[in-house]
Amino acid sequence: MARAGERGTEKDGRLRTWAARLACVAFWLVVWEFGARAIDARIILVGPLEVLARLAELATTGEFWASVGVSLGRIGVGFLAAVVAGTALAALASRATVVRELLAPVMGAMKAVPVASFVILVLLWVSSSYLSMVIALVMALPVVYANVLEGISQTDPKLLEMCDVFGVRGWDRVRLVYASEVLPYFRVAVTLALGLSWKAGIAAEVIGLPDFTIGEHLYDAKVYLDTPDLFAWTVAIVAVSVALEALVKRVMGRLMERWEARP
Amino acid sequence: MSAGSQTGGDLALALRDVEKDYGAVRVLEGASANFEPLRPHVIMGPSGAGKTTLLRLLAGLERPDAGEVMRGADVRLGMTFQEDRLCENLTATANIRLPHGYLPDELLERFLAEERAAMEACGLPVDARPVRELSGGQRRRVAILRCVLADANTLLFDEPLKGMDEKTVDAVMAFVGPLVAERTVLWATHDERELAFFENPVLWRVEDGHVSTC
Repeated sequence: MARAGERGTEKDGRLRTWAARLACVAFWLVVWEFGARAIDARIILVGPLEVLARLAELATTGEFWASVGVSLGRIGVGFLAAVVAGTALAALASRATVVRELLAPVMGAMKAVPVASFVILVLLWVSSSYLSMVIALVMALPVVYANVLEGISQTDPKLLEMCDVFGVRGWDRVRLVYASEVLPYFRVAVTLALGLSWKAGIAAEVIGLPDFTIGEHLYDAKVYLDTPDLFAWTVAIVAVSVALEALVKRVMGRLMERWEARP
Repeated sequence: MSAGSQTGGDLALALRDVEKDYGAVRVLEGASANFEPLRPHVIMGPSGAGKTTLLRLLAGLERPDAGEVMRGADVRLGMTFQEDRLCENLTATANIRLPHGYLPDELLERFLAEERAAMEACGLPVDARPVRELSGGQRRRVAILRCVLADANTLLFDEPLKGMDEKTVDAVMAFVGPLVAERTVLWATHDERELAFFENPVLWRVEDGHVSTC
């Protein structure tokens, strides 16, 4: 009975938190709408209602979905490549100090160099179609690498001693001990890198202008001073980002639960 | 998959003139001992006397500063450490099975049945919770079962029953006793009552840097 009461209070608390958050968002939307009406210059600022209407209009066109699909696909490939390569490099670096020391300046540079510099440099090497793929990879790689390496190095040495005594070696040690210890770090890495890759990938598209991409539409909106389009595409970018993050978190959470519940 | 008993082969386990220091503290000083295979050996001594160091040397986790640690070529080790040393994100059954590595489906099913029976015998719940959600006493029992169900012929126990209530100890030992009977067992404790769990054990004493039979 007391438990049910506690659960009820907890649910009420959560509802109140959500209500407060929604109220804050609604407040700023109202401010935005009134601000737009007060300025009354579509080129400078359009209100949320107009943005929403434009987005709904765009969403009925095939080009909108094709552009979202192309951007998502290319950035997704770059991101997945970064996850695989970052994990593999972290595994190698944890085994060989020389690899870790060799990679340290490369990863440091990848983190420090501005996206715009990378974009221009990469444009000299590859076609603009592959630009967002490479940029997504470059952005995500050091994040995945650093987190996975940290997870491996934080693996309890006492567990490794236990493995030594029982003769658990090679792939079994990776599968049973390292995977279990590194998984929480991997989860954080993937979530962090996903947002970074997506935003940097779109920025790269704006500079490289590959056909049928979100970046190209953003650029067009700037050239034609089409502020409603600019806002509508920005909302679409944010919506895809939030949806992707929620999806990945959910899928990884499920996978972790299943992993942990294995008999 | 039987818990690895072995009656042949080189199962020698011995120390010869072993010295071991930790910084300025000399833990073992010319310690020699020959642990007869396939028998229980109970190692007693006050806290800090060097029981854990002795087991760690025999397990190959420490190197002696001087002297020699000998372990036969056919020795397959299992160990219950002073700490539980469990993989927190895995279930009790996955932890107990860990020393076996990958098992094909048929063997896995058989071993799972063995594990579940063992857990029930020791009063452990059989469910899908990761071990981080188990109590201290339950985790300890998982660590003991991981050791005794391992395919090992030489088992090292470092104060395995510490902190367990009497009823649980009885249940655990009723299950563990027959399982370790045909293996070399080194059982470190400072509780003399634990001698009663073994049939005809060799009693060793670790004190003042030496290891001696009583």
